[in-house]
Amino acid sequence: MTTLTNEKIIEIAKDVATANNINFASVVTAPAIDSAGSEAVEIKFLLTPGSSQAIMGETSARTVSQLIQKLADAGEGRFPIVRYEEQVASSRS
Amino acid sequence: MPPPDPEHLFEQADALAAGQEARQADLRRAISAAYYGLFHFTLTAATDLVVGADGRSSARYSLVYRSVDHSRLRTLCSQLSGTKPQNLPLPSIGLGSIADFARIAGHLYELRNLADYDPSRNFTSDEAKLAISDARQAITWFQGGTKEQQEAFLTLLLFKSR
Repeated sequence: MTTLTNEKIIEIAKDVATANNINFASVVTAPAIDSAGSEAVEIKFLLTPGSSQAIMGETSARTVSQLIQKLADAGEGRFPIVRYEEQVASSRS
Repeated sequence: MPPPDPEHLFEQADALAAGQEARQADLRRAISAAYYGLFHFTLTAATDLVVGADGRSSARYSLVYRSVDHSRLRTLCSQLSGTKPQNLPLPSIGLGSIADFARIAGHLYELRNLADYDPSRNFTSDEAKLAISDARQAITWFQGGTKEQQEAFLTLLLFKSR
């Protein structure tokens, strides 16, 4: 099974997110196990505070779909599990 | 009895994810309900194709409906991940937005699997709401496909290629 490097996965994920106007601070990956017990890769977009609402609907879904598509086209054999986590705004003192 | 209405499952998921004080159990159930809404939408479309929507209360409808399990849907969706799926009888124009539907369906199945079974994961209200919105968008994409594209996907779901 072909596996891309974390750096390549993050590069593809950032390209897809940017193309879909997603405001993210960073992208991180982690190994995961899919429902069939096979290796998977978790890709988490750390969204800037307050940006979750803006991507509800087509933007979020389009990003997930395109990321799955582009990773498959690049030969990634692991299924990507895409997650979104919004950063908490830092409070002012 | 008619099949479950996907929108009812999405509304249930909305309610579970809406509260500021939503507990992990609520958020996990919300993600699961989002997937199940999409799953039942797919089964209904597939069975309507074979039996017809006017046969929804029949035993034959139940037989076809129950013939598709989660792993079959997941496997097909995985096969449709890339731009040019291999060894599948697809329309000459491709699957169009049905391929997007399939990628979201496969993805929500994996997310639902984490939500239902992996105690090490935490979910946020925003993530649950995004899963629900993804599921609704996937149905919009399915409905935006041509009849030929829809039937191609549903036929692949119901009948294994040999």
